[in-house]
Amino acid sequence: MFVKPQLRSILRPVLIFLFLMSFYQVLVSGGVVPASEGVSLIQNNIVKAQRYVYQDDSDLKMVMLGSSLAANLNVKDIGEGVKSIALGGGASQTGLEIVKRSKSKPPIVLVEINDTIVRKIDAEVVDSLYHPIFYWLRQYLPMMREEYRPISVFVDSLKSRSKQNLKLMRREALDSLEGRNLTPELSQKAIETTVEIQSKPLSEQDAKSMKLEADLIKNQIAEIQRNSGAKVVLFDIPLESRVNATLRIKQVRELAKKLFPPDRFEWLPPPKEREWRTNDGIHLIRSDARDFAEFLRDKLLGS
Amino acid sequence: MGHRLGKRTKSQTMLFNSIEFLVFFAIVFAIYYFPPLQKLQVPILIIASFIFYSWSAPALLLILLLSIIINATASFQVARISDKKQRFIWALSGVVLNVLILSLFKYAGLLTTFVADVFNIARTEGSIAYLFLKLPLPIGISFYTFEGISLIVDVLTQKNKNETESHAYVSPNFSQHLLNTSFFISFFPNLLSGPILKSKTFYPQLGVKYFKDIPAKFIFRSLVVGYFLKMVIADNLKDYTFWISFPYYQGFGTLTNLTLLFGYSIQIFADFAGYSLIAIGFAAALGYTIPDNFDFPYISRSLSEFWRRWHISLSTWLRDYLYFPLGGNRKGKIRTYVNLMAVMTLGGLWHGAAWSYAVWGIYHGFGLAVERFFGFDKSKNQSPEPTLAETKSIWQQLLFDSLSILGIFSFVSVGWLLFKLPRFEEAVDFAVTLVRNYKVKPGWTQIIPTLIFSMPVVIYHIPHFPTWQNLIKQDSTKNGQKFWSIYQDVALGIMLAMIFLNSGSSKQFIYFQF
Repeated sequence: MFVKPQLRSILRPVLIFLFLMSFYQVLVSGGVVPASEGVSLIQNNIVKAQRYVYQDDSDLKMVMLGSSLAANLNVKDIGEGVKSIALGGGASQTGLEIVKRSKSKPPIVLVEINDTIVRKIDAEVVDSLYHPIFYWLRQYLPMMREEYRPISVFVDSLKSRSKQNLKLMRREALDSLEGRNLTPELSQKAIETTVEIQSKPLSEQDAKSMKLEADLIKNQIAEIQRNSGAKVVLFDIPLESRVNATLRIKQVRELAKKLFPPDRFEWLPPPKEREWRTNDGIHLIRSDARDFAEFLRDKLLGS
Repeated sequence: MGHRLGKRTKSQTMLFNSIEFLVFFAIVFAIYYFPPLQKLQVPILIIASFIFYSWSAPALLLILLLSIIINATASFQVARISDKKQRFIWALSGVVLNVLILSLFKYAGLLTTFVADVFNIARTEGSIAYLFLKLPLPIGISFYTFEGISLIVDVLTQKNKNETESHAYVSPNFSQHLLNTSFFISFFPNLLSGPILKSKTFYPQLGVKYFKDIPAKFIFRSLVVGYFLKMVIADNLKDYTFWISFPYYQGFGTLTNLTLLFGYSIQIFADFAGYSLIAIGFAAALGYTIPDNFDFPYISRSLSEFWRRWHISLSTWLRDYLYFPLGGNRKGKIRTYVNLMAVMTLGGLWHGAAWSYAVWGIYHGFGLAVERFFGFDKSKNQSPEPTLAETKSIWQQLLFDSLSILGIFSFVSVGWLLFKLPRFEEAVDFAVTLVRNYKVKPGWTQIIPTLIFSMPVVIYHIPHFPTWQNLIKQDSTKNGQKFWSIYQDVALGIMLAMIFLNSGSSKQFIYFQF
C-alpha cells in the first residue's frame, strides 16, 4: 500500500523540521534569542504592530499613530509608557484600526493628520495581525512573531559584533527610512523636489480621497472613544519652512481643519515658531525630531 | 510612500500561499479521491477550477469560458474535417480569435494610449478610449490563451501528418472533447501563471487517478522548495528591492543599488520558480505531470542556454509556435537574426502591455543574435560532460565557466531592471545613478539582508554548476549518494522550518501581472 513507503520517504525532513521548531521555541521562551526591531521598513512596521497587540498594557499612557513622519520620532524621547504604531509608508488609519481591534485601552491616542491619510488602510497588515489562526499561534508561540524571525535576529547579531557597527547600522536603518543616507547635495535636491511637488495645487482626486479617508478616521475615532474612553488628539508634524510655505501644504492643512473641525476634534496646538530642519523637506533631522518629541511630552504627558 | 499602481489593477485571487487555498485544495483533494466519485474526477476538477478562477471576480470566468469554447470548437473541427484547406481556415480562425481576445484585454490600453497621444484624442469618461483603458485584465489570460493556441496548432500538425486516422486525443464526441478541453485550459494548479501546458503532453494523461499512485516525496519536495522560494526568499527580498523605485534609488550608493539589482534578479527567480514548483506539486497530488519551468537558469553560460533554462514552457512555446514557423535558423543568417529579434520582442510584449517589455525583448533578441553571430552559443550547447581534453584543464574550465555565468547573469539582471522600473526613463536614470552616486556610502542595512536572502538561491544553483556536476559524477559512490540524500532531507527540514518562522509579508506573485 501507498502509505508506509511513501510517508517514510518524507519522515526524516519532517522530524528535522519538528526538532528545529521545538528547539527554537525553547530558545525564544528561554530568552536566549534577542528580539529584533526588524531589518526592513515593512518588518519594522509589523514588529511595532505586533508588540502593541501582544503587549502588557499596564503602564500604557499613550499610543502615537501615523506615517513615516511620525515614525521618525523616538517614543522614548516622548516618555515612558508611550507606544508607536506610526508606520513607514503607511497612514494613521492602519494604526487606528489596530488600536480599535486591540484589547489594550490607551488613555491618549495621538493621530497624525495630513495628506498621508490618502494612502488608505493597510488591510493586509491588519488582517494578518488579527488572523484567527496566526493571532492565536503568535500568542502562545512567540517564535512565530516578527521580532523573532531567525534572519532578523541573525542580522542584528552581526550588527552587535562591534558597538561601533551597531551604532552605525542602527543609524543607517533609520536613515534609509527618512532619507538620512543622503549626502548634503542629494538632501538639498530632495528638498527642492519636495518644494516643487508641493507647490502644485492639491489635486481634486487627492482632496476627494482625503475626504473619504477622513470619514473612515472619524468612525474609527468614535469607536475607540466609545470602547475605551480614550482621549484622541490630532496633530501634524512640522516641516521645513520652504515646504511649509507651499501652496499644496497650506491647502492640505486647511482641508484637514475643515474635515476635523477644532470645535469637534482636539488638535494639538502647534509648537512655537522656529526653523525646523529636515533631510528631505518632510522628515525631521534627529535633533529636531527629539525637540518635537519633547514638545509632545510637555503638552500631553505633563513633564 | 506607497507603491505606484498601474492604470489597471487586478482583483484579489485565491493565492497558493493563502489559508483559503489550502482549505480549498484539501476539500477538492478529498472529493477527488473519494472512491465512489472516481469516474467524475475530470468534472470535479473543472468545477473546482472554475471556482478557483472566479473566486473574487466571477465575471471574468466568462472570458475563460469563451476561450474554452473557441479552442474546443476550432480543434474539434480541425481534427474532424478532411479537407486540408477548410481545416487550415478553422485553425487560423481559432488562433486569430485567441490573439484578438488577448489583444483586446491585454493590449487595448497600451494601443489606445499610444493612438490617443499621437492623434490627441480625448480619454474622458464615456469615450471609447476611456472604455478601452478601463477594460479589466483577466488574470492568467496570457497563459491560457497560449495553451489554447498550442491545442489548435498541435491538432492541425498531427492531422496534417496523418489524414486518415482519427485524432490521437481529440475525442470523436464533441461533448467529451469540450469537457477535456475545459479541463486542459482551466486546470487550476497552472491556470494563473503557468507552466504553459501543451495539449500533446497533457491530453494523454487524462484518466482515473488513484490515491496510492501519488508520488508523495516528489510532491513534498516540490511544495517545500516552492513555498520556501516564494515565501522566504522572494517575499523577504521584495522588502529590500522595493527601494529600486523612483525616486528612492537616487539616494543610494553604487554598491547598494548594484546589490539591490542582484537581489531583484534572485527575487524574480524565486518568485516565479517557487510558483511553478508549487503548481507542479499540486498537479502531481492530483495525478498530473506538468512540465518543469526552470532548470537552474542562473548557471547558464550563454544566453541561448539561459532561455533553455528560464521559463521553459514559454520559451519552448515561442520556439515551437513562433520561431520555427517563421523559419527558425533554416533561412540564412540574416533571417535567423530577424526571427530571433521578432520572437523575443513579441515574447517581451507577452509579459506586459508596456513598451519597456518590448525593449526588454529586443534587448534579449539582440543579445541572442550577437551570441549567434560570434558562435558563442554553440560551444555552450554541448552536454556538461567533459571530454578527455577538457578534464585535463578542469580549473581553466571552472574559471571560464564562472566568467561566462557571471557575464550572462549580469546581462540578464540589467534586463530585469525594465521589469522593476517599467518607465524607460526611470531605468535609464537608475543606470545614471549607479555612476553618479559612487561616493555615497554603502547602505549595509540593505546590502546585508539582501545578500543573506539571496544566498539560498546561489546555494540551490551550485550543485548544478557544470564543473561541479562533473566532480559529483566522479564520486558517485554509495557513500556519496547517502550523504546527498541526508543533505537533501536536512535542507528540506530547514526550509520547512523557515517557511513557518521567516516568511515575508507579500502575497503577490510577480508573474501574475503577466
